[in-house]
Amino acid sequence: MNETEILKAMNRIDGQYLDVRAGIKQHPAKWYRRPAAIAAAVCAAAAMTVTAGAVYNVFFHKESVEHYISASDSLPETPCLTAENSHIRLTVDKILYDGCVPTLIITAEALDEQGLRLIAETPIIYFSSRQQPDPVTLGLAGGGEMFRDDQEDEKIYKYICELDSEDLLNSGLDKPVFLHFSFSGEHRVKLNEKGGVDTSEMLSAEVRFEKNLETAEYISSDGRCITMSPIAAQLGSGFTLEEGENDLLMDMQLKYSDGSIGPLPHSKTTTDHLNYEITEGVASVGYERLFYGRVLDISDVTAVIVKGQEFTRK
Amino acid sequence: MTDGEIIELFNARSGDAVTEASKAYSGRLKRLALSFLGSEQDADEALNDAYMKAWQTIPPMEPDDLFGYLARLVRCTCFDMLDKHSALKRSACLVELTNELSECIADTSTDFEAGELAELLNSFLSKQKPYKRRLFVLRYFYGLKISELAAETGFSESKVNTALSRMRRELKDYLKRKGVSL
Repeated sequence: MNETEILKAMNRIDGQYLDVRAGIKQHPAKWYRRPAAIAAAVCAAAAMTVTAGAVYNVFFHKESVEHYISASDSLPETPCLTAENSHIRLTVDKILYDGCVPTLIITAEALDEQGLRLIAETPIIYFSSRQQPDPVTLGLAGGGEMFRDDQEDEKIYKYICELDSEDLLNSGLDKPVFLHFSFSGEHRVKLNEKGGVDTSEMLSAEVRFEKNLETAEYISSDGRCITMSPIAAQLGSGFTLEEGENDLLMDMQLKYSDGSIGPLPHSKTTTDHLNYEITEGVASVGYERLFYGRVLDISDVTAVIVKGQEFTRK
Repeated sequence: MTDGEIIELFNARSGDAVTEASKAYSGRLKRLALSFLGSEQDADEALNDAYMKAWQTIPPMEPDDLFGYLARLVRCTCFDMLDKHSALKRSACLVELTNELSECIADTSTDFEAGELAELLNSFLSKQKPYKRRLFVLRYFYGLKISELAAETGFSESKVNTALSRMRRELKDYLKRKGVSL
């Protein structure tokens, strides 16, 4: 048996799966939409000049971190990185890595009127590295998920960002990675003379991802695994969801060392993306991930319970 | 002309049936054929064969989705051509698709019936969320490139890559759990 035979076997899949005329229902992320006024402002934006590199500085936004992860004082200290131009200051307030998905807390501040218009839209992220010198997009909300709640202050936006990208992970996180944030909209990305993405007008930060969160694995009798860190839980493979059932992660129960059982906390901000259209029948939900919205002491969690089945700590 | 009207032409054995089907779908079908075959000439030959098979099978077949039906015929024809003529050039896309699907293979030592594998694929696909299933079918049935998938779905290319990579991983795990050694 070889891979060509899998490709050939696709000839015989059910005819109902071949009808791809219906659109995919995407999760309701506001930042996909581009209001006409903002689009006009983006098109009229003058070229930005960017200060070279990223510097350590005092612009740490504790309120940004607390907004998405409460009780955050117990999180590890990480470098606070800033890049700015005359319109926007971008700060990476926290860099967290549990060995699965890097997570960033980011603050974007408008420094002038043009900055107000530019930061009204969620930036597009690109990354490059020594292994991946040509910048690769992490996209609007895929690969690099940037979540943003409704916020009242139009001069400052706080983001929580998951960099769940195979391209990024495969490039190797043991070396520094450059993240480039484009506030001019993906359709305005400039190309360099080689046809690659020109990041010279983006705000860039060199980031190092080192595993700085403890993790614990919880294993079921049939070998399935759930990984937990102090900020998020992630399913392994082999998990399914029946039609009509609630999301597995959001319904998960935690068993503590004193024998008590309680729900898994979760942040509304980042669980909206789990609210995909439920499939007919049964859906595979392997590798899905959920933020708690606060720091969880996983040392006290001896087991997790999913659909009545216990997963014990490895 | 709608699919229903074109199928009526087939049923009526009208000479316009293939013409109208070709008018509606030849661009996309040729693109599909070029996903697997390395030359325009071979792709044209595959299309002609597929139209002939459609003529021979409709009626009694009455496909709900005419494009999907024709696409299946084109695909089968392409693989038949590749099997029969080893000198035929495989497209770069086909090489890419097979390289990706090689990730789903745990053990190459066991053969089994093609029908069994198709059933397992159907079962696997039935368990996927609609958007993932659509991505998988668009990539591995219709042979769309990652950039085309991104444009089609509105997802970033990175998200498409990530979703497909996870599905390949899940397919490998699924086949192992079902006790299938490929």
